Amino acid sequence: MPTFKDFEHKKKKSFVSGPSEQLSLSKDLSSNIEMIRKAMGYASDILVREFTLASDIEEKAAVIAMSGLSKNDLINEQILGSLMLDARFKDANSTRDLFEQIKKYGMPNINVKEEVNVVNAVNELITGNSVLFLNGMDKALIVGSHGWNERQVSQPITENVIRGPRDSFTENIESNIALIRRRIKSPDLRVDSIKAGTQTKTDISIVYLSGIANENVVDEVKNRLKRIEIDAILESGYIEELIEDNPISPFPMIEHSERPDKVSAAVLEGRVAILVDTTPFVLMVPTVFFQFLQSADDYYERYLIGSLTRVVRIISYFISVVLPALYIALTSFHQEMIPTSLALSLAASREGVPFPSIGEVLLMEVIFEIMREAGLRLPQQTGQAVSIVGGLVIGQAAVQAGIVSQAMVIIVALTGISSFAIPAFNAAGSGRLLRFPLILLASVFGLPGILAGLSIILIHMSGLRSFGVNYLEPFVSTDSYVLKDTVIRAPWWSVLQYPGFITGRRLRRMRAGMKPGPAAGSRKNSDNE
Amino acid sequence: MRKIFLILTLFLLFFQAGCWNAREINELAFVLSVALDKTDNGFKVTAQIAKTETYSKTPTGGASSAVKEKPFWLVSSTGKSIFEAVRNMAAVSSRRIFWSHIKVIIMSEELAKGNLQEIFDFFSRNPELRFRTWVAVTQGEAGKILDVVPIMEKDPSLNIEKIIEKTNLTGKACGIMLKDFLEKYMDHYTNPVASRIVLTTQGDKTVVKLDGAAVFGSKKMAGWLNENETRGYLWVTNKISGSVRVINCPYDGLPVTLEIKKGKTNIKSTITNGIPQFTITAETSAKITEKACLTEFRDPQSLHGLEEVLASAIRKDIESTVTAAQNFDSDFLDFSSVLHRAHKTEWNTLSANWPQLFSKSEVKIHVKARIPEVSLLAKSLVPIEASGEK
Amino acid sequence: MNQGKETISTNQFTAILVCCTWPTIINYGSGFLARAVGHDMWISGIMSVLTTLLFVITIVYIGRKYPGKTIVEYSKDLLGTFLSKLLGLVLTVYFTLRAANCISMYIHHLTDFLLTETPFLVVTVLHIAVVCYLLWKGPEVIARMGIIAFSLAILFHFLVFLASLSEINFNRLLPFFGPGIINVTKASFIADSFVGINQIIIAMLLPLVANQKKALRSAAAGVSIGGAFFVFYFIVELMVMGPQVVALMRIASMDFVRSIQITQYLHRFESFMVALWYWSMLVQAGILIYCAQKAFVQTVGVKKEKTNKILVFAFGIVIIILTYFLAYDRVFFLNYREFKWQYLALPVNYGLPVLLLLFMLLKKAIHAIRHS
Repeated sequence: MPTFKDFEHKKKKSFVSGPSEQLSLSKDLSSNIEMIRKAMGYASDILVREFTLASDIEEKAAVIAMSGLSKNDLINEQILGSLMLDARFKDANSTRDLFEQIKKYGMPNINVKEEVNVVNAVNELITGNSVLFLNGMDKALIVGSHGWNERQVSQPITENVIRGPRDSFTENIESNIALIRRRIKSPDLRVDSIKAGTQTKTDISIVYLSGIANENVVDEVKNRLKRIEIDAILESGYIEELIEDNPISPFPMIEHSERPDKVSAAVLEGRVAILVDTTPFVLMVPTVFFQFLQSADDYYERYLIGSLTRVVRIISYFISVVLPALYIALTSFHQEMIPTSLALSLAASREGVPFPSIGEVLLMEVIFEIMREAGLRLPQQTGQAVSIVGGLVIGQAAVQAGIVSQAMVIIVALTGISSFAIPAFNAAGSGRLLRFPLILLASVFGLPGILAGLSIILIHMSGLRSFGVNYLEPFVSTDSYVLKDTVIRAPWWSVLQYPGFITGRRLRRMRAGMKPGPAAGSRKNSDNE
Repeated sequence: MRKIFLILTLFLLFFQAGCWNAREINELAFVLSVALDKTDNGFKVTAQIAKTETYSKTPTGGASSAVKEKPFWLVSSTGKSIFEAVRNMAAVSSRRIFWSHIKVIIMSEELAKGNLQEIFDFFSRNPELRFRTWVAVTQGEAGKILDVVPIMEKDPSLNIEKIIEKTNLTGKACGIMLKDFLEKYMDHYTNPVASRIVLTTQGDKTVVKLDGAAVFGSKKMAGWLNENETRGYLWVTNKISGSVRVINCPYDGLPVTLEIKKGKTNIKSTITNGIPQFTITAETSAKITEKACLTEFRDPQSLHGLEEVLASAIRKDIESTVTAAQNFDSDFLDFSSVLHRAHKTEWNTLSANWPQLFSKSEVKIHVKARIPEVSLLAKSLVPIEASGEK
Repeated sequence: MNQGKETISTNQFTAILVCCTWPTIINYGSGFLARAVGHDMWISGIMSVLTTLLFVITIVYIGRKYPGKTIVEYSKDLLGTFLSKLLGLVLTVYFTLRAANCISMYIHHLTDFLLTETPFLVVTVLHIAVVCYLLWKGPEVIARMGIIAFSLAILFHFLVFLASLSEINFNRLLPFFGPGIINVTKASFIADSFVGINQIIIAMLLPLVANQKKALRSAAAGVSIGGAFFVFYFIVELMVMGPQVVALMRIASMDFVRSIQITQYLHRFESFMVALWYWSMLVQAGILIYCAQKAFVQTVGVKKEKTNKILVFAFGIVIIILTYFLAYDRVFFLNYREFKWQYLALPVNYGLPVLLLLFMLLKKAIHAIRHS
């Protein structure tokens, strides 16, 4: 059984840059190459090119790079080309002098530095940079050459909008940062980077707008990121789980997005974006629950339509959590609440159904979840078949066979569709999760049971905080001006301030009195004349 | 982990303990109306229960089309108390009798003249029942009213409910909800009025008809109101708007039908020598909807004559109601609350012998009638003679 | 982060007081008042709100002199150690009983209307479990729930207004002061036994309010809005059902909701109204037990955070037992609440602030004499 001490030991060993293994480079070229190869375990994807410099002192040299991680064109042109074909290093009288000259004139590359340590050289190598050794020098030149095949910027897959930009983040952190910088051309946009993951050495960058973001939040994000010690980070989900405030809550505590415009908007609001290399999903903190019900569309459409869609989403979230439970409560506890003719036709539709309505609901909900999961993982062409089989065959047949009532099929379908109407998949998931305890409570206590369940959920939510911000802000907030961007989206010219619960103080966002209108325009014209 | 386990156990515990109140909707027998009759030693309760299959879009079982069955089920049982009788229904009904959707309570005259207190105790004590139920009284056996298959509706209760909701169209009947009935009943000085429901035949079909009203005294039913008296009651209680009134034309005696567009009544009280006096002022604006007489009412003078006739007809209606009330010794016109409102201090002394004072009190009636509307026609529908001018 | 001292904002303070004012009085209180003064119950309600406002001003005035201290803490300065301990215990018992009352009223709704066959104890345990969970999360969460409850209370009254529009009969309110001004004033004491708890709650919560300058304004706003809510409810109730039927009913608010309808289709929406009303009851129960617990802690002098959390459960169990003994026998509860309760409530509600004010003035006078 591994003890804590064992773990300590292993941890030290697995750190490549651990202080115990500070190996320096030697002056011998072939031993340097051997050291690198050995450190990499004689991996087959190391490229080594040995050559002789075109200079007075015919000195041997070698370039080492990783195949696939570095751009071969760049190495050929900027390293091999300039050293082998160009004969500029004529005055060099020693190897050291030659090395300095190469560094000065011989490397037409933006990212060149010296390195004396084998381990560091290997670390550079595995991120895709090239290492240049010169025989007789105990230093190496690291030349920035990383570049690999990657996905182009394409349409976002998980967050579609009707109106709005069509680009999305890719797996490359640098181009992701660039996508944000393209939108926010301000020197106040800060990008701080950190590496995490002992094996993966994943780049993590936090992006925020200095002067608007709450300094406490920025510091807190940095601190939480610094305490991560894990072997691998493959997706931003790892980071999310490692830094969130309440790990056992069913509600997502950190919002993510693959849309650069959404992330930029968040940064502009004073939030902190956390970008992780190798994933297009960017985290944004602090997060409040209501953000999960907002979509980028709301801001691009005119505000009336934006407000309408938000109301629709709130209703659909409520439906997706409560509707099956409410159906049980009404049909098996509070039949007096249903209008008479509806009650009678509900009774008629349940005539001959063998299960109690709780059994019916659970059965249908489970079937629905299975169908959803099946459809999600399948290729698109087969996915359609699943929906036909699921929707038509099972739904129709189950009703005709008298296993479930028609009303129940409507309820379950409505619940399912409502949960699809929520833009954030993780928030919709919380609704799906909470539905089942509510169904059980409703089946025992009816409406009071639902009330008890809902109040536990709401109490839990009011107790949550994400990076110091209450999860239910701005509904439980003290300032009413922040309510302008919640259930309704007030027009841009009326949202004069940054949301105070994020920035931590009241900041002006725009000039007041920008409400447009014919009078405003004509006055301007007359001024000109 | 332990927390989750605890919650799970609690859940299962609740689940195991059973769903105390849960009853599936298809295991209920929805009572839509209830009729109460008197038997030798208690009550006979007749419940009209809706058949759910008549509400289903896809009828199950083809056999039912061959034999035309009634779309509802009447179940009746007897007991010493109403609740016992209701519980006795369980002996014949496979489904739980469910009262929340009850629309109308119909009492037989015999019962209404007996013990009211017990009936309304049951209906107001039970949390399943609702206060917006209509209350009606019938002559003869109440259970028979519910046995009439309506022509337009699926079952008799909805039929009766709709009829009661439309009483203001005829102005010859009234409806009262349980909550208002209770209020009047609970008030020591005022008394309730309920709908009177009767069976008549139209062609070869028996139909339910709303006609007149039943007046209650302080403890039991006092008597009936006929159509005119009911109309007067509606006038005094401001419920007349929308009804029609047929009067005879003052010039040639042929009938003119007027629709009462707006009727508003005000009661004022004065006290002279310890005897209260009431002045009822009714204002109305009516509309000619049909006339057989040939008088041209474009002439303001002749229209005024018609208004006079309408006013006197209304006065007569109200007078008849007041007389009936004083005869029955039943203050269903709310005179006592008028007096209470207007003479707060005197009321304390007067209230002790209100019943005697009520029958002694003098009632003056003023009616102001206007006919500002004549429908679409500008003149009478009389063929124009070509040589009329000569 | 940012986990400093627990504070509640002024808006949340207002919301809490609204929740402590309106929900209990409309359901049992309206019956009591109707039996006492009939159709003038709403005037009694207004009177008691005005009295309460007066005492709210008093208690905030006293509280301001001792910033950051609850009534139990500063009574040590005013009354001496022994009396303040006694006062702390009295307040603990008072708050606990009042919380049990509040919970009983909700439980009666469930067991008498919605879940008639579910065992009393099961419903009680379920509800108190939720309240304890709320308590466990602390006063800040109670305050946030207060905001939610307040917004739902607005919706509740809006729906009541809509549903009863067609049934309104203004004559049922007339004549004003029918039973005489003295009787109406007397009846306002019944209303006080519901509403008057506010000043004591304020005395307990005042140190938590973030903006002390606006505390009085928001406290007064809370009591007035809550008062406006229940007076409105009384008026509508009277105009729809009339005083006789209100007096007939044990829980008149429920029967009132049973006799109105929103259009033809939502004709029995009482369970829906309970769903809106419930949140205020939850917040009220939470804040009352919180006050009881705090009074107890400050009297005994417990400092540890952990004991506080254990106390939540202790109070939960005590209140389950109390609720069972008070409320299972509905006749006992009705009599106790209608006739006995005010003998405990009124001295605490009104005697306490007056006593403290007297002692404070006395102390000031002595101080002034000594200085001169």
